[in-house]
Amino acid sequence: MTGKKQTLSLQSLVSVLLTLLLMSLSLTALAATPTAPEITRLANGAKLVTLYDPASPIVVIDVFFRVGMSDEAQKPGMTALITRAWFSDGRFRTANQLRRDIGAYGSGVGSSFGGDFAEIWSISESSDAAVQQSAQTLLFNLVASPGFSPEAVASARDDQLRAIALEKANPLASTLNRLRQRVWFESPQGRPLLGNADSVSHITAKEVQAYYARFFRPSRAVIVVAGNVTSARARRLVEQSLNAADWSEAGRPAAPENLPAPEQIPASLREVNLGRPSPASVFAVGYLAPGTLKRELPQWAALMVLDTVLGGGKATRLFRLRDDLIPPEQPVGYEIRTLLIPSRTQSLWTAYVIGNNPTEATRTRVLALLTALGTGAEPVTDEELVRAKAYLKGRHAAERQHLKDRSYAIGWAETMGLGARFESDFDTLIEAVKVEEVMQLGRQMFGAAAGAIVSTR
Amino acid sequence: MKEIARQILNLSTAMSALCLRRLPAALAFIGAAAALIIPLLPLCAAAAPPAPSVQRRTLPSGIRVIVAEQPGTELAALDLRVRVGSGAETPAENGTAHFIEHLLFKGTGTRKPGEIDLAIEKLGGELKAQTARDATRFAVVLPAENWRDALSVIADMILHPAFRPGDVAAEKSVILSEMAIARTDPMRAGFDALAGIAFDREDAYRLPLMGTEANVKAMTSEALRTFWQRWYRPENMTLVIAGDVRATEVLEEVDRLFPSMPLAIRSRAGREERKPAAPVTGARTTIRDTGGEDVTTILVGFRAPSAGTDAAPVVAALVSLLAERSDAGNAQGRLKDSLVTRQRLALSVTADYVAQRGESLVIFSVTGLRLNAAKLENALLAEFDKLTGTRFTNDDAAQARRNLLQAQASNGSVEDTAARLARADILTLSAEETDDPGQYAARLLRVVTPESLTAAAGEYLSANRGTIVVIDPPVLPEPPVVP
Repeated sequence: MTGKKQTLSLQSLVSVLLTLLLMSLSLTALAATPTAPEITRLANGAKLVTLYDPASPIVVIDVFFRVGMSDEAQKPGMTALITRAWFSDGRFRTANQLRRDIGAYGSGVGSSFGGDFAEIWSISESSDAAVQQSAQTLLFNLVASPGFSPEAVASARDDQLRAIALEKANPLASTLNRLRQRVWFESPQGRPLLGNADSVSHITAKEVQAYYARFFRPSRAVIVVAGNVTSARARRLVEQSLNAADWSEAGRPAAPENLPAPEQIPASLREVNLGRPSPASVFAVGYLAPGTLKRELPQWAALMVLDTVLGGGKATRLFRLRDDLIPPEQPVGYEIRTLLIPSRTQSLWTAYVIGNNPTEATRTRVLALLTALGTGAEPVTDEELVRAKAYLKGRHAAERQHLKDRSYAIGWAETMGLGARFESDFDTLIEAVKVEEVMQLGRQMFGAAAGAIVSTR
Repeated sequence: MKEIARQILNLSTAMSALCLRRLPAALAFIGAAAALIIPLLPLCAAAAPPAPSVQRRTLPSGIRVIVAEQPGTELAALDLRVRVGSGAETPAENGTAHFIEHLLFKGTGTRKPGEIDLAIEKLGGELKAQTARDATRFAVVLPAENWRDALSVIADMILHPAFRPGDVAAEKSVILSEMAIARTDPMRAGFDALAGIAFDREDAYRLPLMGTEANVKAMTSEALRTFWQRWYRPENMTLVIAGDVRATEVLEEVDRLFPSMPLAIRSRAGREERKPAAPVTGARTTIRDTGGEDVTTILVGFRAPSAGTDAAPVVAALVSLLAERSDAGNAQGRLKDSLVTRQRLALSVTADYVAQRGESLVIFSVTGLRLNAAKLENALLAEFDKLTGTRFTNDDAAQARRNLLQAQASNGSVEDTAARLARADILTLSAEETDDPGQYAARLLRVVTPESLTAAAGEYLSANRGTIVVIDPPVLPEPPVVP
């Protein structure tokens, strides 16, 4: 009996190992054969992006929706809640049936969200049967016919409330949440992505279903199919699965896309101190930056370079403040980084410092550094530009070694308005950025405008 | 933004065992959420293993070189490990390995502070470093055509450090800042506290990874140079290069850049020669210093067998059944089912099997609201009490083996391949099993059984062998009385 069990287990292990080997082929082949994405529009209004790679033995189906904080009105945290509840059940499938379906065809499913989007994805082997099952499960059962039963929503709500409690306990997360609020003063973008305990604990299954029907609709969807599937076959698969569920715009309440109007940071809201006792203090300064809509694409590339000159890597202006320029009796802190939080109309650019040192001295030095760039007193040098471009291109390549990473990057760029071209032409766009463009952006961001400041003590 | 979330998921595990330098702090909740991932087969396709051709060689200088050829990736990952960390220090030296890791970035005889980072970043990479108990690591991933230039910079940095007194003085404040941050991180602060009571008084694993504040403040360039001369020798190093490179070219270049060094100071005995002492049982301590305002984190640590032994995967398998690894996304485990879902006492439950060359450490971490702290601690210990009498089944063993295979599998990226090979070399794991998942799977089938799991639960994870660290919020000042 034991012997038989062991044989079965061995078969199971061998099957896992074969899968591992299969997957590895896709990774190496992928990097060597980059393919240009093709974009088409489906009859129901959804956008389809295909990324054909004949050498890949896997297929990724990745669905993005342009939905988020601007749509949440009085229910902040709703989009995040949906990404947690998505897999709990479907209108035509129980949780167990979904689990079996997914287990039968492939390797995994997942979801994520940001301030302006929600994502759900599935990965399968590239055989016809596996891709068919993946498309049917993801598109028909989860995207077009989700369940959101009271039990599923209650469970997701509990999960999210736990995440909110943990977020509150994290000093940096709390600081950056408050910074969002200060920078996006009147905009819904200023709310915490997870919502707050009060709003989330009162979200009902009916509200989730109504919100989903209104905002998770074809006209707001970008569907990416990447891997060993031709564009024509990808389109057939997607249309078959979605048409079977009659997933269309018909009968849905209107849901115009809200793009928050550009804001100025009010001077009276510039600085706040959270007063958190802790061995380490956090100091963060935030500025409004260009958004990701396509019309600002060259500016977005320049923003990435500017961000890298200031805080991307360690040979940066901010990090050098810590390591090279400050005498030991005037320490700055330990972790000095920048963070770019993209949004479609206006993004949030922030520099933050964590350490045990007095915030006042740190504050003065960081602000002086940004002002020097904003006024042109310390212009960006050619060497800084060369380093920033090499760093950005190197990271871009390193972070896209997997097909899933590439499908995410292309889907995200298309959803956020940059367009898939931003991904496929990344190196060219970055290389084309000129010093003058970076300086112009620096003047725009740090010259006249005031930053918002949040510190913990 | 998703990259940030992913980094954080990776970071939380690493922080339990390593002292990370120059990586962003936890930002899990800002900008985008961590992906909610449900891997239903033992492996997510995004986490596929490589099938690289691996060559190992010890060069005349003594440096061990491992090359994993992954043609077509167009990238190269360099991962250099020096077999010295806090586990090799005496109490008086404690903190020196970590201090050296910092100081090496300050330059060489020909490079000023900042120039090492600048050189590497102009090649398209970012050099990162970490100090652990068994080794110090320097790693970079960059376009493959630049691997030679990057290696040349790293060799200069490692073999010709300047140790300028002014740089030593400046770096003290940076390290003291890092120590302050570590005190706000329950896993980092908790790991040091657990190790401090779990290991024997004579065992260097007991020492804090970054040393004491007093040691850092007293550090001199002479002390750093003496320690560096003893340990930073080619025969004490393993270099792994993975990616779009050729082994013959790599070996030739490493041979040129890492020549033999005259023996200036004899190395001390490695820790594998020490005998494990009797376990410390029932110790408990409280830290009241973290940044969390309303939450308490409770860590329970158990000493576990060395990474290279047959018992190690059994304990690791057991841990995988009990709780998710701290980097495993949304996976489930028995402790999570009980403490989070059913009893609703915990906000999160994670576990780490911290593999070490000497005795390893298993750490369970639960976080809950401060007001539930006492109940949570009792409930957690009750779970370990129950565990002692549990009889594991064939299904449990099969699940545990799948968990381990998934954890062991490389995700196929060049940096993961390099890190996996380097880690295995430092921990003296079997090269055959590291290169061939089939051999590893065969061993798991042999050693991870219902009987071995049941025995390991009683031997290693019984409640009375656990050491406990409770991390409470800081004491808040009384709010001012408003008339």
